Amino acid sequence: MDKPKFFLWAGMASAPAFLFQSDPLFRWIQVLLFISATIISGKKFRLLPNLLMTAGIIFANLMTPNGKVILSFWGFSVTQGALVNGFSRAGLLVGMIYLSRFSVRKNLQIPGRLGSLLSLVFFYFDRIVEGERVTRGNFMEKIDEKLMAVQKISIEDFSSGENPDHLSGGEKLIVPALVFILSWTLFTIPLLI
Amino acid sequence: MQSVSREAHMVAMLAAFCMFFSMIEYLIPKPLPFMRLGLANLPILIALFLLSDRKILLLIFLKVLGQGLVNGTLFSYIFLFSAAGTLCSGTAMLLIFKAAGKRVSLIGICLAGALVSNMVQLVLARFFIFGRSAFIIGPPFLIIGTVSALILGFFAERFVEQSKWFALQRGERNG
Amino acid sequence: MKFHRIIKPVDSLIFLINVAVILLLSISVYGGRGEPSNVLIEAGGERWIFSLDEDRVEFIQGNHGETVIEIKGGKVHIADSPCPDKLCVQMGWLEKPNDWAACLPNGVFLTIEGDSDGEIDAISQ
Repeated sequence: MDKPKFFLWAGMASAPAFLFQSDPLFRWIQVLLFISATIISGKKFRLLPNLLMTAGIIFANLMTPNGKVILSFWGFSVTQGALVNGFSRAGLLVGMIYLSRFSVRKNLQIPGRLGSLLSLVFFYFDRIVEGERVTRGNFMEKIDEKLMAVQKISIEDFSSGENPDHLSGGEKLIVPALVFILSWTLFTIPLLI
Repeated sequence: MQSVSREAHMVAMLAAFCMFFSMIEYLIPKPLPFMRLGLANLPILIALFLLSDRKILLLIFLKVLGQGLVNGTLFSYIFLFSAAGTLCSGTAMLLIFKAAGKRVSLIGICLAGALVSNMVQLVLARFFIFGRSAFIIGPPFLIIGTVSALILGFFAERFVEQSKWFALQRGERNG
Repeated sequence: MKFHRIIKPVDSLIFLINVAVILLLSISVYGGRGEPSNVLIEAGGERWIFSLDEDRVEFIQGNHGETVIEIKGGKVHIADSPCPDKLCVQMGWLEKPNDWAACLPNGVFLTIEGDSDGEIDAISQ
């Protein structure tokens, strides 16, 4: 198994532990776990957009009151159930984003016919992105030009045998393994207490 | 990789263009939070004329998967939303194209696709993320979607009429 | 290429369906009953608020035990209460703003919130 595949499997195996988490607090601990794993394995994390998204989701959920009133101002009541709901749903969204950002690495090869078709898609995608910039003409002519240019590439140019980087004792593999173990531990604890 | 058919290459290429367009739209700042031209649907609209039904469905599927992989949001809720929206709207567009034939233009197909996709996303947002208040933004969300669909549909119609590439492909398919 | 030359009959039909869906959704969200109703429950100095949109059964602790409150189909009633006369249960279903019911022996009071403090109204305007 190569490295990207190991990340993918570890991520996929951790997902149920996150999705079926029963406790909102432990769900957020899992979120922090996924975010740190994403950062450690070299991808960016930006705080502000996530905070805004979380605040937005919590606010939207507060609009549907549910449970004991814990705070009341300007005729608006903050209810416990709605707050917990929003908190938990926001965690679900943020956590899934970072679990997937963590799991899907570059050079991921998917086996089988679908896999080879996907690599063909990525082959064309690379050509589109790397190809010369089309500068003349209006937007539509640019698209047309781009399609022509990419179409010209002959089929022989495509080789599916790019070498994926293989497992090499790398200490970085500890991270996905830890993510898997810790997320299931965090899933189990609230069930026991 | 010796026997990849011409059609498979066309599917892969159009799927790659879907990814490219969604990347462009992701990079361009939006005038309104939900304002999205949906340029990534252009390859699907073109494919209606160039590919068989099965390959069109495959293209829709690849578009969903490719976008998930590029944005790194595979298995996330965002991915689930866009995947459900794209699959439903793609199928709806294909069905309407087949059923109405010459009585419908790409504008109508675009409108139908946008409506289906946006409704699916609203319903999912209501049940999984925002709760009941998701519907409060429903009407403006749908209105913006309708306007962008009109623009994209008009653009697609013009593209199909004027594109040299499209004329070439169509000629090869029919001849 | 003129706009009216491209538009085909089914296009107009789909456009009309689009407009209809937007109108229907707008009416159901903003119009009609105004804000969606919530039920306010008071007992022992604490308050609870629940939306009437989701069916549920709540057990509220009063002076003598738990009063059972049921929300169903946009209405709410006291299903059971640990009181001798069960007057509160006989008060039946509440659905309009300012409707109320109470179980005095158990000290549980419920009312449907009125339009006056409508936070949803403020947003939709």
